[in-house]
Amino acid sequence: MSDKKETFRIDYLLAAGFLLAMAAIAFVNVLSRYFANFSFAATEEITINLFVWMTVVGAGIAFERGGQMGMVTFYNIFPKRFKKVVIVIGGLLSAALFLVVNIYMIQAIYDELTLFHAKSGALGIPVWIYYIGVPVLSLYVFRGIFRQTRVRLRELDC
Amino acid sequence: MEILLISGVFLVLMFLGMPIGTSLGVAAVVTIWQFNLGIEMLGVNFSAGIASFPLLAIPFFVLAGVILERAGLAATIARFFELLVGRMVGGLAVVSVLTCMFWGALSGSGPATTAAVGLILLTPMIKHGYDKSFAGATIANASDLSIIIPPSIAFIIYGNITSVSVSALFLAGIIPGLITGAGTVLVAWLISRKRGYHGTERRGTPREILAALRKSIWALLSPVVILGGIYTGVFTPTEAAVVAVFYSLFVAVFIYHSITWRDFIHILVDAAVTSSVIMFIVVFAGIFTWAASVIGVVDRAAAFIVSISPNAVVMIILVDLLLLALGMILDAISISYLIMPILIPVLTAFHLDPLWYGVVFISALAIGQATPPVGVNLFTAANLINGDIDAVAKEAIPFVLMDVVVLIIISIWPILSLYLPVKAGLYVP
Repeated sequence: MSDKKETFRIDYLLAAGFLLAMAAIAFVNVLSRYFANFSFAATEEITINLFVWMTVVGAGIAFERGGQMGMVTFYNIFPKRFKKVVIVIGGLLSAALFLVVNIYMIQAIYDELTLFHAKSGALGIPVWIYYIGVPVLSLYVFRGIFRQTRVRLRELDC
Repeated sequence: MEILLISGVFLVLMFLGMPIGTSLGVAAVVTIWQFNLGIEMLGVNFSAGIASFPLLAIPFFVLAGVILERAGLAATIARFFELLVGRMVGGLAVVSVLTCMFWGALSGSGPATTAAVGLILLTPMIKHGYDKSFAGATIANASDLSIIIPPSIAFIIYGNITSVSVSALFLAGIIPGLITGAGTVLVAWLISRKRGYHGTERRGTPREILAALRKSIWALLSPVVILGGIYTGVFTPTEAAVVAVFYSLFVAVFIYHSITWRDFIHILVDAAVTSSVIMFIVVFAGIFTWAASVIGVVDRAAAFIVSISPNAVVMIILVDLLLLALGMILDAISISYLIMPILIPVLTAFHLDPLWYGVVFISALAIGQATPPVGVNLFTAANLINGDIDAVAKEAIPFVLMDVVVLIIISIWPILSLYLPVKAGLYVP
């Protein structure tokens, strides 16, 4: 299906790895629940937090591929110059949205490190460890939005 | 003022063509800011909106579907049905509907089913003299079934919003899904007979049918694996989904030998991205709905709907019309988040069953996905045949009319939806 020498990008490997880990942990949980007498149920916490990380990385790739769902019925009939304005504003707003989410996420991490020191319910892992994936992995979202905006603007000029 | 702000920002951005998730998120953030609803919780709420065990079923079902698709299972299923019923009038059209129904039991998304089945059956249909727009419309419409026939991402979302058991919703979708499937077969057959679309030249011999059955048996068994566990109450939908992942992987690697490690990484990436696209909408739709309900928009909208008519039937018909209209322009997930929170108090006011209503709600949305002018399935189909969306849309009209008749039937007889979940002991109305 693909060239042997092909190497995968880091964000692809991260998205794939998170999903595989989620499925593997969940599967071991099912097996242990029904076929063995002990339970790894506490690891469910890891699965759902990997889900958050996977969503952030995957959202970045989806932005880059232009795969986010949107309504293009009216967009398609806009004049070219207006399309350009919409593309730029759309990119800026998407980036701003993730920026606001991350500002408050970093604030929450800071509060955890300095004030609350909260531990997760099931495994006793400091919650900031789960949180920190969001701002770090969001770098891929910003990159994806930037690349997609650039590609769409170029396509309009052709 | 509140209504104008939150819905105005969302609608303007959406109609401009911004991603739905961005439109919802920006409208929510502006509202939270304006009304001081606690913007500092945004980061944690973003995380919490995704980190949910029931929603985990979404990436797992998506992954199982992508594995089976890349393993080439749709082709073996189609081949089996072709040998079985290909010779009757409109044979390939009937085969495509049956394959879509079956694929719907493996996948939870309409456009994905249109693409998977369309790639396999459109070319043979056109070669056998079917009008290509008719072929596209048949598959686009039959793909609707994938969001009514379990497993269905739309039902997982509905359960997440309304707290109705997803297991019960899955079972509730089976009979209405089969009725819709039968209706679709009927329409395809009637049109084929009128236009003289013949079947394939010869019927498969019993030996050939048996060989095709043996080849496709693992694919044909997957719905049993997925739904059997849920029906008997052994698995939650998320557990069933992860079992489906490893079942598909086992079938793809050990039975069909059709995927390599490298393919597997591509499969994982594509499934992760598809799930992220859904979750991007889910997470910001959740925050949007929360903001809308805190500032009282949801309650007022619900009170308005209740005040229109004291009659439940009138209410259902009006909401169905609204859903059909929305389904033509928006995806099922966004609509569920926008409309369902408003409808929950309305259902209570009219003493309507939320499980049965889930099936009606999702069916109405499914119809919109294949309804002219802009249903997403029609777009996918038009792309596949390199054809004109208007021509496909015109051919879709008889199917849509049939869908509406089925929608009325399942609206009138809740027993069709409630029988299986009650029988399985998963639901008490």
